[in-house]
Amino acid sequence: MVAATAGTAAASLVGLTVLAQAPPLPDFEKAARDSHRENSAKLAAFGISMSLEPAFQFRA
Amino acid sequence: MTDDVFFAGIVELNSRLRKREFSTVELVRAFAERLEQLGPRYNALALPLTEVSIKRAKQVDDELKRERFRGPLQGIPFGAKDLLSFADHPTTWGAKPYAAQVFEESATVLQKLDKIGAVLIGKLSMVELAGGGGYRTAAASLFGPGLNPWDRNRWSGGSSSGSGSAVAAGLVPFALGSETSGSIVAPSAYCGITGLRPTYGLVSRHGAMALSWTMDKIGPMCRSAEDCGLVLQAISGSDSNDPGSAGKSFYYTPQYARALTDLKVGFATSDLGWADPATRPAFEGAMQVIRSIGVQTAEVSLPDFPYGTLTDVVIGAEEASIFEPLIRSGKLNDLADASQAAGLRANLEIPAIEYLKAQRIRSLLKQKFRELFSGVDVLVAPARYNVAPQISEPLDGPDPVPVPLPPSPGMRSLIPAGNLAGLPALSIPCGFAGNMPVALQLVGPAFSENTLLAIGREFQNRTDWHKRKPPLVS
Repeated sequence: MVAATAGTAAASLVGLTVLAQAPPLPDFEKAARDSHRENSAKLAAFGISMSLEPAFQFRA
Repeated sequence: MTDDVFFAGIVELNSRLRKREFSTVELVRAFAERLEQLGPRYNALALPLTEVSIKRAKQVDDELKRERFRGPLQGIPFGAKDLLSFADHPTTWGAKPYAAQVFEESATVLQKLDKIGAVLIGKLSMVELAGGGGYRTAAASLFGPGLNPWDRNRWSGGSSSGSGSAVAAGLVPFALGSETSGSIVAPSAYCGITGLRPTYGLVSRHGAMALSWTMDKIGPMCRSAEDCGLVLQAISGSDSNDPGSAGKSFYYTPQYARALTDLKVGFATSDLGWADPATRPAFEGAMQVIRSIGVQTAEVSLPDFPYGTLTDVVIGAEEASIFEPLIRSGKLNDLADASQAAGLRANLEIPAIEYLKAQRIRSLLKQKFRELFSGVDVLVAPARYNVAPQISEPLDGPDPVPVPLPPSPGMRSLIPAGNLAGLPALSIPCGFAGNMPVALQLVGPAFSENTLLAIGREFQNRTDWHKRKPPLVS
């Protein structure tokens, strides 16, 4: 956000207008990590017991 | 060549070749020129192969003259998603960091098709890296947003975007696509074509970009269920170069399929409530056709699993390992979609214990699907619950919540569920909402492709949705 503000100050008046009208881009890194946290919670909530299952190997 | 050729099925084209109504060179040249001319209109073309294909077509004509027949795909032009290597030509995976990438060997599926005389006329565009990092816009591709032949303001779907639009616009008789979770079914549905996601392991992935070793599949995208059966027969089979290979072949044998009256099809009434209201009449009509072919039907529900989480974790962890060199290089930021780059970067942090837990849950999920398929033979559901979105729409927004809220989740998670369990799916056009196509998906147990194709073929004998042509090219 700091870098974006500095960039805005240096921009032309026309550029400033465009920047002011454009919606801010989402913070994709934060969104990805939030999603990881949600997935971790869902996996933790899914009960899976100690079992005698053989080692995992994927086959249809 | 006239429009009837550009929208003809494989059997008809091969029959006309053998009757010498036209030569392979004439057919290949006509399609290759059409693909070069109209492909860019839909951002569908990654690499034209006109010269190479005409050279190959001459060899096929020599074989036909000597009556060396190699089956229904002999002399048929086709396109391939640009994640399949074609020796000594660029294979970009739809992504700028790989724009100059060249392999020495062709993918197994392309070698198989070449051997029986099918002729590759072009590589087709795709979402960058097949979209595994999670992309926000249709423009997430080296080739620009895939444009839908039914309305170029709408997306062709992903990640097999060019395969979907090229078949729909009559630029190729068939194409190869790939699916990790939805990348054949979704563009087939949005573009109004017939697409088959094979059982995991039935088709070799050697020479294809890996996104997820335990979920990637390669399959045909065609004009009809019958064409999908013919192409699948040609590309399936054991391959020691693919550790996921099931060691099985597929023979398209509609004549030996079980009587349709013996089949039980599972559906969920709630699905209609989840579908966009504009698409509901098409789905209601399609279910009437399904019932009219004589199958029994039964209400079912999907087993309760966190499908979205499982696909996120499995694909995320595997792709992070596959693309680690790219992620740790500065070139990750060359991707067209910033959301996808961020997703890939964050996926390096998925703990091993979570990946393994997700895989263990997958084993339970497969068991639950085996139990489900002890009661029904096939599941039927909307392939997508909406029509293709506008190009300008973000793809990562929340799904609309219908009013009234349906009483159960229905089969909205059938795409991730079927992919996690490695099950085959057939997407068939089943009507229109406005001017946009709508499709059903049929999903069955592992290696039940002939059953899905038998139902799909009968559905297409009774309807003509799969024969409709987009207005811009008809």
